[in-house]
Amino acid sequence: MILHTVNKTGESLSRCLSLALQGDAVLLIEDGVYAAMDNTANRQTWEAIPSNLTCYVLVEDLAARGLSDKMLPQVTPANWTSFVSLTTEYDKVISWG
Amino acid sequence: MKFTLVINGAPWSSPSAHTALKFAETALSSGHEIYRLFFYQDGVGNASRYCVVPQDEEDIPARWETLITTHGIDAVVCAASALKHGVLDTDESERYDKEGANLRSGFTVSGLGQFIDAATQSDRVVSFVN
Repeated sequence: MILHTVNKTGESLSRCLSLALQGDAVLLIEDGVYAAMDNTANRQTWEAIPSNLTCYVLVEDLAARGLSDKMLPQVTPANWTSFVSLTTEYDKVISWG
Repeated sequence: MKFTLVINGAPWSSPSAHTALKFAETALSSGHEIYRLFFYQDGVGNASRYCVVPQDEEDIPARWETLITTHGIDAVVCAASALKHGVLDTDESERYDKEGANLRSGFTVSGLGQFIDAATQSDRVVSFVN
């Protein structure tokens, strides 16, 4: 199982989501956190993915962009310690940029 | 766990150098080991001691140096990337007849072989891309 870090929205995220397998996890970091914002387009994105593909967002990057109170309920908050833990819990890390 | 981090971004061009630094600091404070930091492509900018950062901005290269020297981490700068980006140690500076050497202390210039070695010796390789 793979942890996918995604640091941009758009093409990076859609390529990642098209290749991520069931049981993998996606961690949104840097500008990738915009995909965790509660809006229609993002809601559709996360509703379309398999239910056992977990999505996390780095809360420090979310806060840095003023989005802390605009997070989608489908996305799980993660801090720096959780980021490190996630890399140990999954077998490999793929970084999408 | 043993980590190797690959840093591809310069401190001034993307948030990825900051992300890598925070990850490294957190991994160490969580009790993990860093086998090697590999600075590649634009990431070699983190190893320049000629960067002058405005006082109200985070001095990422200085923080790397502190982290590397405090914890005795092996920090490798890709030689080909470093030359292209003007990051030279004393040997390279003399070899190419340049004035001054700007590699920060704690960093060493080496090749991709060091990355292959790190990939085989570490439990996890985490890349921080632009």
